[in-house]
Formats: sequence, C-alpha cells, structure tokens
Amino acid sequence: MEPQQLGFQVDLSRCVGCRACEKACQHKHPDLPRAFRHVDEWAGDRREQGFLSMSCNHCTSPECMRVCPAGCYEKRRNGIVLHNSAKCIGCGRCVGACPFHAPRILPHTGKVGKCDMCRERLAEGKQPQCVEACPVEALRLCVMDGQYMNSQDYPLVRYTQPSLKFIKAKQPKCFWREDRDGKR
Amino acid sequence: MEKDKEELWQAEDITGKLMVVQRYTGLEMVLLDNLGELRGTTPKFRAENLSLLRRKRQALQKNELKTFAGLTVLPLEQNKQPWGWLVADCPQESMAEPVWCLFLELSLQLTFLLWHEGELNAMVRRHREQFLYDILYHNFASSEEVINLGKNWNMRLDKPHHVVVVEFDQPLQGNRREQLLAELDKEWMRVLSARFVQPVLMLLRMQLVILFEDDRTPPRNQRELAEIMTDAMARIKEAFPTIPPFSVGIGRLHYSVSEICRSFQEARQALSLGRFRQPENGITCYDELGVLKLLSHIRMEELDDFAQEALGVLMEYDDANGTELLKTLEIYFQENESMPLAAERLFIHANTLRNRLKKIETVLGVELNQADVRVRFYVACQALRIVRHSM
Repeated sequence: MEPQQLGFQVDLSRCVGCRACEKACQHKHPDLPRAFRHVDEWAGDRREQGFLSMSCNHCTSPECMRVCPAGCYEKRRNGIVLHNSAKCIGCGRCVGACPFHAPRILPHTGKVGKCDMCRERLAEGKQPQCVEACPVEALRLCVMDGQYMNSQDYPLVRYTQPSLKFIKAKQPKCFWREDRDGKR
Repeated sequence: MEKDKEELWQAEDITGKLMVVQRYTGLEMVLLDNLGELRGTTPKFRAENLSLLRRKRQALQKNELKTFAGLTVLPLEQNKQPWGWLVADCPQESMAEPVWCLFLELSLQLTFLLWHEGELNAMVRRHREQFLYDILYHNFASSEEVINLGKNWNMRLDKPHHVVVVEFDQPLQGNRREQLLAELDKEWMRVLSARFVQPVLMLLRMQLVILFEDDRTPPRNQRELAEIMTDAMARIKEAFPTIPPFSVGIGRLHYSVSEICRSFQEARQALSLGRFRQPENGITCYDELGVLKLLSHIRMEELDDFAQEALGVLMEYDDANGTELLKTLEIYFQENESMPLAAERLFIHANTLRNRLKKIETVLGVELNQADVRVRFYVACQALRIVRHSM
C-alpha cells in the first residue's frame, strides 16, 4: 500500500453542534469517562458562534511518537497514528506533549488510550463511527493532499502538521428555537 | 524489414543500439537522460561536444536547442514527459534521408528503453520508500524482522543510524519542485557517498530524509555531524550554485532500529524550530534547540505577552529615538555574548557595543551581568523571534 495521509474534514458551515459524533465515539468506547471525540463551542458574547468537532488529528509528525520512551506509537501507511497499550508504561509524556491533548490516561487501566480512526471499521470498508453518525455530513474522512492546517496558535503545530481540514462557513448561519406558541 | 532496422530491434541495450546505428550511418551519437546525465555514447563522439552538452544542461532542459549549433539534438518525449536527449555530432541538414530515418527510429527505441527503465526504477523506488516509511514511522511488528528485510536493500539496520532531514526554505511550485528535489537528492547522494557507507536517501512529503549508519566507536556526536553537514552543504552549493536555499535538521543518534522514528521526529523538529534562529540555509541539531523546544509548546499570545513585558520598554525607546538597541541585544545573545563577534556582525566598534549595552541596562533598569536577568532577556528575545516569524 502506498503511503498516504487520511484525515478528518470538518465543514463548519454544516455543523449544527448536535454532538452525534461525540455520542457515537462514547458508544464505541463505553469504558471511557469522556469520548475521544469532543465538540467544542466557540463562545461569542451572547450565544455560541460555532462548533468544532475534534479528536486525534493523526499528525504528519506526531509529537506523541517523539516523546514516548517505550516506543508505543506507530504510524500506519494510511497515516493513522496507533498506540500500542501493551507497551505503554503510563508515564503520560504523550498526554502533555500533544498540542491537541488527544492521548488520555484511562483511569481503569492507568495507560494511555487514543482515537484510532476506527481502524477495524476502515478495514471493513466502513467509515469511522463518528463520521457515520454525523446527520448533516459535516464530518468526513479525507485524504490529505499536502495542504495542512496552518495554525497561528502554537509554533509546534507548524511542524506537527495535524491532518485536519476545515471548510469555513461563508456566511453566518443562525438557528432559532421556535416556542410552542409559534413565537421566536 | 530492412537489415539495419532488424539489427536495431535485436540490440537489447542502449550502447548496442547506438553502435548498430553508428555502424550503418557513421554518426557519432550520445544519449543523455532527463537530468542531463550521460547514458550511452559511441566511441568517437567528440569530448568538446560532450562537455558543451554538460555545461549547457539548463539550455537542454529549457529546450533552447539553438545553443547547440553543429549538433542534432532530439528530445526524447513520451506523453509530453521528457526522458532524455539523443544527440548526433552533425547538423540535421547534412544527414541523408535514410540516415535521418534510422536516427528517428533509434530515438523511438531509446525513448522506450528509458521509459521502461524509468518505470522499473519507479517500482523499485516505491517498494523501497514503503519500507523506509515503515522504519521512519515505527510501522513494524519486530525489530528482527525489519533488520532482516533491510538486508535485502543493503541496509545494516542493526547498526546505529543518524537521521537528517533536508528541506527547501521556500515552498516551490509545480514541475520545478520535483526537478529541484531530484537534483537535491542526487547532489546529497554524491557528496555523502564519498564519506559514508551506503547512505539511504528518501524523498518524503517535500523533504529529503537521509539515514546513514555510524560505524565509528565512539559514534560521532551531533556537533561533528553538523560540521560534516556544513561541509556537504558548501560542496552542494558550489556544484549547484542556482539551487534555492535549504535547511538541515539533525536528530539524535539512537541505537536501535525501533528508535529511528524518534530520531526522525527530532530531526524534523530541529529543522522546523531552527528556522526561528536562521530562516535560510541553517543547520540545526536537536540537542542545540535548548529553550526553543519549551517555547514551541507555549501559545503565541503568551509568548507575545512575555516578550512585550520584558522588551516593550526597549522597543518604545528604539521607536522614539531611532536607535537599534533591541537588535543589538538580540545579536549579542545570538553571538553567545561575545563582544568581538557581535560587534563584527553589527559593523560597529567593540567600544560602541559596550556603550550600547550600558544604555540597554539603563533603559531596562537591570544589570545584564546577573544570570537570572540574562536568562530572562535571552528567553524574551527567543520568544520575540518566534512571534515575528509566525506572523
């Protein structure tokens, strides 16, 4: 198999913040106190301005791989960064090093766990659970074609190159809750 | 089929085909590949013409064939992809029609041979790159397995390996990018082969990754390796003066094949963070990153706040008085607090530098001979560089 880089594409104009992706991840990993995927809100002055669905970004240069003293991390030819818990000593270096805090110490094992992009589903030709659960198709799987997110937040992210694509909303979309009497 | 063409078909390799045509036509010919390298020649092709072709390689690549008066230069292309050039040492006008026809027939057959060889090489390279990808990203089950597989590629992976990453400093566009990367690959291979046993080079996502084993006891440290790389870089720039600026990152030496992935990530980090110190033509060792490694984990706003708190007064003073105190302080730290080196870089006398440093102390209200003060302002200068280069 030719090396490639799979990644997540988040269409910010479609995401309505329903958290179906988060719930699907939680359903797949019921032992976790919190799902690997989480939806963050961009808070505005008065109401939410947008939603950001995040999990492990399977970086091109994974910082977790650099810092792990036990060699637990590997990157498959499709770009997925996997963690081998059998080797993990639970030191937590990767937890602190990841700019997105994707790896987590699991309380019931004391070892690290992270998103594996549902690799067994991918092997069966299916989409990851979170992607499949998205009702508005805001979250998709994509092949990165050399265009990586250029984050201004951390100098580190310039070189880790997270495999994450955002499609920005062209114009603001507002959702209003309608009361039972028909008034907004 | 005519006898000459039949014989041409039967000849299996490049030299064989050239010799058949030479025997029937008397033409002296040479074949160059798409990088301008000599692939085959008839014995009496004049050395001065070959030298001209080598010197004017760029004219060949730009298809400026008028430069080669007195020669017939035929580009070998298939589906608009250049594979090389077939050159005869007489002008086309002087060739009789049957000679020209056989020359054209030869060009077609050589195009096929070069294309076929290119396809085979591409396939071998693909398999080799997949194997190297697995090593660089720790994508294997056991070290023994990968060491055994490495023997098939003449790699002694049981030995400690250095990992070096080379990348152009500015993004390059389109065909030029591929061509320049191939040139960079070739030049590094040429320079390193003279010094190391079978260096392994691989192009991966617009970067050139170099692996070479260290057979010395004790192994070379990063400083020695940086000196070797500086020398190699100078040789490459001398041989290829038009090459765009590129930087080099060097990872630490790890002794096991399963740790090459760490060394690779370290080299990439050194390359990326090293650009904050030297934006172009830099060579950075991972061990030398120092405080930059820590600063890279801090949010840009916090870095900016820290730099402004420490150096804001100096910036305001510079703006109000048209002085260069901040630049002086930065260069003083960059030159490791060496008065003569910093003065030389600033094109000022050492006494002027002393006066400026006193002025800096007055403006900031500190004494730079105290360690904690020096560290604070050194870190602030580094943070400021990161913020400036990230804008």
